[in-house]
Amino acid sequence: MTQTDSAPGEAVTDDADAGGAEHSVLSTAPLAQAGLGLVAAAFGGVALIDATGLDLFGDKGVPGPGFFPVFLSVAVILLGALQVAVSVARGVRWGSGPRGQMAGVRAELLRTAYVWGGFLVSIALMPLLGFVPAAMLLIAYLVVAVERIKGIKAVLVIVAVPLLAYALFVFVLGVDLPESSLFGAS
Amino acid sequence: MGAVHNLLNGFAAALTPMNLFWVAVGVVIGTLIGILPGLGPPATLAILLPVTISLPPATGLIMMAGIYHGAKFAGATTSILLNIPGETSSVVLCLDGHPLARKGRAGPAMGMSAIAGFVASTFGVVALTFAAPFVAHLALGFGPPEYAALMFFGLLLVILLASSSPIKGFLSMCIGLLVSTIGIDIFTGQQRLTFGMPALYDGIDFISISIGLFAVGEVLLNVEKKMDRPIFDMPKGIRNLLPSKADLKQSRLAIALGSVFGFFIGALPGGGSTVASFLTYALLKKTSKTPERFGKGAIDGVAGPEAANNSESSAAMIPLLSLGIPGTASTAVMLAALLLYGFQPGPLLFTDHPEIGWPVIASLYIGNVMLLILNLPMIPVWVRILKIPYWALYPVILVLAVIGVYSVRSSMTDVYLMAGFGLLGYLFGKFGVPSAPLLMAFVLGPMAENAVRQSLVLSDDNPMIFLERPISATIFGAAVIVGGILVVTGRRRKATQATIAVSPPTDLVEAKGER
Repeated sequence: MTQTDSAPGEAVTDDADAGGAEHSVLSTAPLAQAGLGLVAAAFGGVALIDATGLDLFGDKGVPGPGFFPVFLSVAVILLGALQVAVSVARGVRWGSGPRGQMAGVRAELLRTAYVWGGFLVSIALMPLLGFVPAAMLLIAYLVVAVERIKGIKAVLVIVAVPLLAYALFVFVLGVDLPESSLFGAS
Repeated sequence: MGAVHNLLNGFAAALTPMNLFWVAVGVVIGTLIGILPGLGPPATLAILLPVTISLPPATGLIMMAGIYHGAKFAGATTSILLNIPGETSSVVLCLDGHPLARKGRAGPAMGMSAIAGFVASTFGVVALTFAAPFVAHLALGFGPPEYAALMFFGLLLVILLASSSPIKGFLSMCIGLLVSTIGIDIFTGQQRLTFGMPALYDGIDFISISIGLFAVGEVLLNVEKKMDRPIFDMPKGIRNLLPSKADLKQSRLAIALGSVFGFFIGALPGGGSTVASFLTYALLKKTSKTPERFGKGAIDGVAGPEAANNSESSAAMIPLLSLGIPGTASTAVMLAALLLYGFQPGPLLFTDHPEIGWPVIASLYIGNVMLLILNLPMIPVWVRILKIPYWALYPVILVLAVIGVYSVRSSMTDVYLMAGFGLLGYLFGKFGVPSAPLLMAFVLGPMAENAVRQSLVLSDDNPMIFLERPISATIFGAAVIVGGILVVTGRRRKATQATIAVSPPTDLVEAKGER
């Protein structure tokens, strides 16, 4: 079992399941890949700490509730460590890659962070303000602040989408949506 | 010939103007409601149950068949166009359906979804008519060891899916298996990996993960750069709105495989179309001569899983109608409808109430035909969604994602988890980690674990139970053989590709001449 043996920065035919995005430099940069391994191992470690409190075996030696979580946590730790080892070996063999390959990555990550951060804040606001105001704030933030779109089309999207969604799901389909705890049930 | 005669009588009873009208209404309403994320066939059937119950029994059940097929097609539509899995079984369509849409082939993808579904549904109805007693008998022989063997086969295919990035593929799979253990252990009642949070006692809902990884993750991958060009290529010309002859030819094997596999899995109580479509996709990818196409817009990557999805729906009737056991959420709603009408599903349904039993089976086929007639011409309309500028589309996707997840359990925790998995999906995409193994392992993991533990309880911790029972031994053996063949052929293919990559052109020409 070996990783694709290519130098960092080279175009790699990654596993086709790895998302719909174009090839990202982070998918081959040794430092980034080693970081991935470390994070994975840390995740496995946290899971292992919780799982070791469970019974590994039940009556008559049958696997208990802790058997699979412990086994899988250890597997994740080992795979994370292997990923670190392979990435370090590739880094030593091929070097860190062409200069400037990470240029632009920071900007991409920041822009994504703005979008995801806004999404998270709007989710936090939904129980407080209700679905419609929180959704309007989210769309307004994304359209005006992130995408810098102004004009009547922007206003239409900001106002119409949450209202239509609310009307369709709540009144027509009878599906519950988050209600405001500040202003009472609408 | 008795079964054929009864089926023909069923068609005759189902094919009345009123029934055709209501099945058409069912298809349209099912499509419109099912297109909303989180509202798959079971939810759509449940929402419209008061409407269907108000109709005469045969008509109501026929309308339910139309709703069911409409909702399934709608789930495929959102998966292909927006990468939002409309329901659990349409997740697999995100893998190749959405890349096809990005390449301007949304129409062929949706058309193939409908056509593959139609072919598989035809197969399913025929198989249901003639093979139901045999399949029901086989399904009765499926106990925990057999389920464990089937899940082992499925997980083996998941592992083999990640051949080009094995460490990261394994990592994704193990993370999916680990996440699937979160919640209360059904054997002992102990909390596992909940970290004291009551919201996690019921585990993580599949919709949170699937919508997070695919819909939200995809949005984040798309928005990281200021868009200077459209995300989607728009299809040009009417020809590009439907599958071509080449597409149909390429998908023949996928449809056949999906139909058979989906029928077999669907007949098992708890089998489900999600498992059927996942396993079909994995098997197709590994047996394909050009597996690198999958995940980048392979039309057979849409055809196979959709065939499995639709063939499963016929097979799911087997445990319901012959044993009175609903094998899936959708058939559970249908069971409720039958009970509300005053009928008891089970072996006597066909003898005591043939005017209900056989038209129900016929209605599955009629619903699919109606779907083809009504929705194929609508494809150009649906594809127009892609013309919406992405700055307006992606906020809508995020809002729909929240609604889809919240509508399942009315839980804000699920929505937070969805956002978290969305970030994970983005990071997976950036770091080149495949998401599909995580999702497939999350689906198969609980079934595998429960089956293994139940088997060992039954056998007093004797692992030989898996080999002593003929069906499970056969499946284990088949899994090992198939896995071995796939590994060997995969290595040979890679060696051939490596040789081609390093050989000068003259060597290749000479090598061809020698053959």
